[in-house]
Amino acid sequence: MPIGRFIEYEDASPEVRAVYDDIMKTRGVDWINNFWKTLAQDPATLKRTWESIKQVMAPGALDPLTKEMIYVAVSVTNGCEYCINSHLAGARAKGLTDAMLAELMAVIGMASETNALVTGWQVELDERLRRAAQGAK
Amino acid sequence: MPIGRKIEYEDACAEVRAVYDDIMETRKLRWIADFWKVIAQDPATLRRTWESMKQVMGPGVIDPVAKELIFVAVSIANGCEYCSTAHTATARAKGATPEMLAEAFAVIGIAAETNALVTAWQVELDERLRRAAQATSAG
Repeated sequence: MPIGRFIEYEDASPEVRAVYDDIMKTRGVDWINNFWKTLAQDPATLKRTWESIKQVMAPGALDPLTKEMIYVAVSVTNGCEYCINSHLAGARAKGLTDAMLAELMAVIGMASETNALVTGWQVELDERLRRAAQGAK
Repeated sequence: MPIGRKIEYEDACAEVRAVYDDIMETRKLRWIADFWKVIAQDPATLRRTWESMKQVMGPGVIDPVAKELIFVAVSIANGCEYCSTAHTATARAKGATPEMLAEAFAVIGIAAETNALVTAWQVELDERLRRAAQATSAG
Protein backbone atom coordinates (compact mmCIF):
# COMPACT_ATOMS: atom_id res chain seq x y z
CA MET A 1 0.00 0.00 0.00
CA PRO A 2 1.41 3.40 -0.90
CA ILE A 3 1.22 6.27 1.56
CA GLY A 4 -2.05 8.07 0.93
CA ARG A 5 -3.98 7.22 -2.20
CA PHE A 6 -3.92 7.23 -5.99
CA ILE A 7 -5.29 10.25 -7.78
CA GLU A 8 -7.28 8.80 -10.68
CA TYR A 9 -7.77 10.85 -13.83
CA GLU A 10 -11.47 11.31 -13.14
CA ASP A 11 -10.78 12.76 -9.68
CA ALA A 12 -7.78 14.89 -10.68
CA SER A 13 -7.56 18.68 -10.70
CA PRO A 14 -6.98 20.40 -14.07
CA GLU A 15 -3.29 20.87 -13.16
CA VAL A 16 -2.83 17.14 -12.52
CA ARG A 17 -4.87 16.19 -15.59
CA ALA A 18 -2.65 18.36 -17.77
CA VAL A 19 0.42 16.43 -16.56
CA TYR A 20 -1.33 13.07 -17.05
CA ASP A 21 -2.30 14.11 -20.59
CA ASP A 22 1.29 15.09 -21.37
CA ILE A 23 2.65 11.79 -19.95
CA MET A 24 0.24 9.74 -22.09
CA LYS A 25 0.91 11.82 -25.20
CA THR A 26 4.71 11.82 -24.79
CA ARG A 27 4.86 8.07 -24.13
CA GLY A 28 2.19 7.05 -26.59
CA VAL A 29 0.22 5.15 -23.91
CA ASP A 30 -3.39 5.30 -22.77
CA TRP A 31 -2.88 4.78 -19.03
CA ILE A 32 -1.02 6.30 -16.07
CA ASN A 33 1.14 4.13 -13.83
CA ASN A 34 0.98 4.12 -10.04
CA PHE A 35 4.10 6.28 -9.58
CA TRP A 36 2.45 9.32 -11.12
CA LYS A 37 -0.93 8.61 -9.53
CA THR A 38 0.73 8.53 -6.10
CA LEU A 39 2.92 11.59 -6.68
CA ALA A 40 -0.16 13.49 -7.84
CA GLN A 41 -1.09 13.91 -4.17
CA ASP A 42 1.56 16.67 -4.40
CA PRO A 43 0.78 18.37 -7.73
CA ALA A 44 3.86 20.62 -7.71
CA THR A 45 6.18 17.61 -7.28
CA LEU A 46 4.24 15.69 -9.94
CA LYS A 47 4.70 18.50 -12.44
CA ARG A 48 8.35 19.20 -11.57
CA THR A 49 9.32 15.52 -11.64
CA TRP A 50 7.57 14.87 -14.95
CA GLU A 51 9.14 17.94 -16.55
CA SER A 52 12.59 16.74 -15.36
CA ILE A 53 12.07 13.19 -16.64
CA LYS A 54 10.78 14.44 -19.96
CA GLN A 55 13.77 16.70 -20.45
CA VAL A 56 16.45 14.33 -19.15
CA MET A 57 15.21 11.19 -20.92
CA ALA A 58 14.58 12.81 -24.30
CA PRO A 59 16.96 12.05 -27.18
CA GLY A 60 20.20 13.99 -26.99
CA ALA A 61 23.87 13.06 -27.16
CA LEU A 62 22.87 9.65 -25.77
CA ASP A 63 20.21 7.52 -27.39
CA PRO A 64 17.03 6.94 -25.35
CA LEU A 65 17.72 3.22 -24.84
CA THR A 66 21.16 3.92 -23.31
CA LYS A 67 19.50 6.39 -20.97
CA GLU A 68 16.93 3.80 -19.86
CA MET A 69 19.73 1.27 -19.19
CA ILE A 70 21.59 3.83 -17.04
CA TYR A 71 18.31 4.45 -15.19
CA VAL A 72 17.89 0.72 -14.55
CA ALA A 73 21.50 0.47 -13.31
CA VAL A 74 20.95 3.20 -10.70
CA SER A 75 17.60 1.67 -9.69
CA VAL A 76 19.11 -1.80 -9.18
CA THR A 77 21.90 -0.30 -7.09
CA ASN A 78 19.41 1.61 -4.98
CA GLY A 79 17.24 -1.49 -4.60
CA CYS A 80 14.14 0.17 -6.07
CA GLU A 81 12.06 -2.68 -7.52
CA TYR A 82 9.36 -0.37 -8.84
CA CYS A 83 11.93 1.74 -10.69
CA ILE A 84 13.79 -1.29 -12.10
CA ASN A 85 10.58 -2.64 -13.61
CA SER A 86 9.20 0.65 -14.83
CA HIS A 87 12.45 1.52 -16.62
CA LEU A 88 12.95 -2.01 -17.94
CA ALA A 89 9.50 -1.60 -19.44
CA GLY A 90 10.68 1.73 -20.88
CA ALA A 91 13.83 0.09 -22.22
CA ARG A 92 11.81 -2.76 -23.76
CA ALA A 93 9.60 -0.22 -25.50
CA LYS A 94 12.77 1.45 -26.85
CA GLY A 95 14.22 -1.77 -28.24
CA LEU A 96 16.00 -3.63 -25.40
CA THR A 97 16.49 -7.25 -26.50
CA ASP A 98 16.95 -10.26 -24.20
CA ALA A 99 20.66 -10.35 -25.11
CA MET A 100 21.06 -6.68 -24.17
CA LEU A 101 19.18 -7.25 -20.92
CA ALA A 102 21.62 -10.04 -20.03
CA GLU A 103 24.64 -7.84 -20.75
CA LEU A 104 23.13 -4.98 -18.77
CA MET A 105 22.70 -7.24 -15.73
CA ALA A 106 26.28 -8.51 -16.10
CA VAL A 107 27.71 -4.97 -16.17
CA ILE A 108 25.66 -3.99 -13.10
CA GLY A 109 26.94 -7.08 -11.27
CA MET A 110 30.52 -6.49 -12.32
CA ALA A 111 30.45 -2.86 -11.24
CA SER A 112 28.97 -3.78 -7.85
CA GLU A 113 31.73 -6.34 -7.32
CA THR A 114 34.59 -3.98 -8.11
CA ASN A 115 32.92 -1.12 -6.20
CA ALA A 116 32.97 -3.36 -3.14
CA LEU A 117 36.60 -4.39 -3.72
CA VAL A 118 37.71 -0.75 -4.03
CA THR A 119 35.79 0.18 -0.89
CA GLY A 120 37.19 -2.79 1.03
CA TRP A 121 40.80 -2.29 -0.01
CA GLN A 122 40.42 1.51 0.22
CA VAL A 123 42.16 2.05 -3.08
CA GLU A 124 43.20 5.66 -3.64
CA LEU A 125 42.54 7.37 -6.91
CA ASP A 126 45.47 7.46 -9.35
CA GLU A 127 46.21 11.05 -10.44
CA ARG A 128 46.52 9.71 -13.95
CA LEU A 129 42.98 8.34 -13.89
CA ARG A 130 41.62 11.59 -12.47
CA ARG A 131 43.22 13.53 -15.31
CA ALA A 132 41.92 11.05 -17.88
CA ALA A 133 38.41 11.37 -16.46
CA GLN A 134 38.72 15.15 -16.79
CA GLY A 135 39.51 14.70 -20.45
CA ALA A 136 43.30 15.13 -20.44
CA LYS A 137 45.06 13.22 -23.19
CA MET B 1 46.08 4.71 2.14
CA PRO B 2 44.94 1.37 0.83
CA ILE B 3 45.04 -1.69 3.05
CA GLY B 4 48.38 -3.39 2.55
CA ARG B 5 50.48 -2.30 -0.40
CA LYS B 6 50.56 -1.99 -4.16
CA ILE B 7 52.26 -4.75 -6.10
CA GLU B 8 54.42 -3.06 -8.72
CA TYR B 9 55.23 -4.88 -11.94
CA GLU B 10 58.88 -5.29 -11.00
CA ASP B 11 57.99 -7.00 -7.72
CA ALA B 12 55.16 -9.13 -9.11
CA CYS B 13 55.16 -12.91 -9.39
CA ALA B 14 54.77 -14.52 -12.82
CA GLU B 15 51.00 -15.06 -12.32
CA VAL B 16 50.40 -11.39 -11.49
CA ARG B 17 52.66 -10.19 -14.30
CA ALA B 18 50.69 -12.26 -16.80
CA VAL B 19 47.48 -10.47 -15.73
CA TYR B 20 49.17 -7.05 -15.84
CA ASP B 21 50.45 -7.82 -19.34
CA ASP B 22 46.97 -8.82 -20.46
CA ILE B 23 45.42 -5.66 -18.96
CA MET B 24 47.92 -3.43 -20.75
CA GLU B 25 47.56 -5.30 -24.02
CA THR B 26 43.75 -5.36 -23.90
CA ARG B 27 43.49 -1.69 -22.94
CA LYS B 28 46.42 -0.57 -25.07
CA LEU B 29 48.04 1.17 -22.10
CA ARG B 30 51.55 1.11 -20.70
CA TRP B 31 50.60 1.42 -17.04
CA ILE B 32 48.49 -0.36 -14.46
CA ALA B 33 45.87 1.44 -12.36
CA ASP B 34 46.18 1.22 -8.59
CA PHE B 35 43.02 -0.90 -8.35
CA TRP B 36 44.79 -3.84 -9.97
CA LYS B 37 48.04 -3.22 -8.05
CA VAL B 38 46.17 -3.33 -4.74
CA ILE B 39 44.05 -6.41 -5.45
CA ALA B 40 47.21 -8.13 -6.76
CA GLN B 41 47.94 -8.82 -3.10
CA ASP B 42 45.40 -11.61 -3.71
CA PRO B 43 46.49 -13.03 -7.09
CA ALA B 44 43.48 -15.35 -7.45
CA THR B 45 41.07 -12.42 -7.03
CA LEU B 46 43.16 -10.29 -9.38
CA ARG B 47 42.96 -12.93 -12.07
CA ARG B 48 39.27 -13.73 -11.55
CA THR B 49 38.24 -10.07 -11.44
CA TRP B 50 40.23 -9.19 -14.54
CA GLU B 51 38.84 -12.17 -16.48
CA SER B 52 35.31 -11.15 -15.47
CA MET B 53 35.90 -7.51 -16.38
CA LYS B 54 37.40 -8.45 -19.73
CA GLN B 55 34.46 -10.68 -20.59
CA VAL B 56 31.69 -8.43 -19.28
CA MET B 57 33.04 -5.15 -20.64
CA GLY B 58 34.23 -6.58 -23.95
CA PRO B 59 32.37 -6.26 -27.22
CA GLY B 60 28.81 -7.56 -27.20
CA VAL B 61 25.34 -6.33 -28.09
CA ILE B 62 25.52 -3.15 -26.00
CA ASP B 63 27.83 -0.48 -27.32
CA PRO B 64 31.10 -0.26 -25.27
CA VAL B 65 30.60 3.41 -24.33
CA ALA B 66 27.09 2.64 -23.07
CA LYS B 67 28.52 -0.20 -20.94
CA GLU B 68 31.05 2.15 -19.37
CA LEU B 69 28.32 4.70 -18.62
CA ILE B 70 26.23 1.96 -16.97
CA PHE B 71 29.32 1.08 -14.90
CA VAL B 72 29.70 4.76 -13.94
CA ALA B 73 26.01 4.89 -12.94
CA VAL B 74 26.34 1.95 -10.54
CA SER B 75 29.57 3.38 -9.12
CA ILE B 76 28.02 6.77 -8.43
CA ALA B 77 24.97 5.16 -6.84
CA ASN B 78 27.33 3.13 -4.64
CA GLY B 79 29.38 6.22 -3.80
CA CYS B 80 32.60 4.73 -5.17
CA GLU B 81 34.63 7.73 -6.35
CA TYR B 82 37.54 5.63 -7.54
CA CYS B 83 35.24 3.49 -9.69
CA SER B 84 33.20 6.34 -11.18
CA THR B 85 36.40 8.22 -12.04
CA ALA B 86 38.13 5.17 -13.50
CA HIS B 87 35.16 4.27 -15.68
CA THR B 88 34.54 7.87 -16.71
CA ALA B 89 38.15 7.81 -17.96
CA THR B 90 37.49 4.55 -19.82
CA ALA B 91 34.26 5.91 -21.28
CA ARG B 92 36.20 8.90 -22.60
CA ALA B 93 38.86 6.63 -24.04
CA LYS B 94 36.10 4.72 -25.85
CA GLY B 95 34.60 7.89 -27.30
CA ALA B 96 32.25 9.46 -24.72
CA THR B 97 32.00 13.20 -25.32
CA PRO B 98 31.47 15.82 -22.57
CA GLU B 99 27.85 16.12 -23.78
CA MET B 100 27.32 12.38 -23.40
CA LEU B 101 28.81 12.41 -19.91
CA ALA B 102 26.64 15.37 -18.92
CA GLU B 103 23.51 13.56 -20.10
CA ALA B 104 24.54 10.38 -18.29
CA PHE B 105 25.01 12.37 -15.06
CA ALA B 106 21.57 13.97 -15.54
CA VAL B 107 19.98 10.52 -15.91
CA ILE B 108 21.82 9.27 -12.81
CA GLY B 109 20.53 12.30 -10.88
CA ILE B 110 16.89 11.95 -11.93
CA ALA B 111 16.99 8.20 -11.30
CA ALA B 112 18.26 8.82 -7.76
CA GLU B 113 15.49 11.36 -7.24
CA THR B 114 12.65 9.13 -8.45
CA ASN B 115 14.10 6.08 -6.66
CA ALA B 116 13.84 8.10 -3.46
CA LEU B 117 10.30 9.28 -4.24
CA VAL B 118 9.12 5.72 -4.91
CA THR B 119 10.72 4.52 -1.68
CA ALA B 120 9.28 7.40 0.30
CA TRP B 121 5.74 7.01 -1.05
CA GLN B 122 6.02 3.18 -1.03
CA VAL B 123 4.55 2.93 -4.50
CA GLU B 124 3.50 -0.59 -5.46
CA LEU B 125 4.40 -2.04 -8.82
CA ASP B 126 1.65 -1.97 -11.47
CA GLU B 127 1.03 -5.46 -12.89
CA ARG B 128 1.00 -3.90 -16.33
CA LEU B 129 4.54 -2.53 -15.85
CA ARG B 130 5.78 -5.87 -14.53
CA ARG B 131 4.46 -7.62 -17.63
CA ALA B 132 5.97 -4.97 -19.90
CA ALA B 133 9.37 -5.41 -18.20
CA GLN B 134 9.19 -9.19 -18.70
CA ALA B 135 8.14 -8.98 -22.33
CA THR B 136 10.69 -10.60 -24.58
CA SER B 137 11.99 -8.69 -27.53
CA ALA B 138 9.90 -10.94 -29.76
CA GLY B 139 6.71 -10.06 -27.94
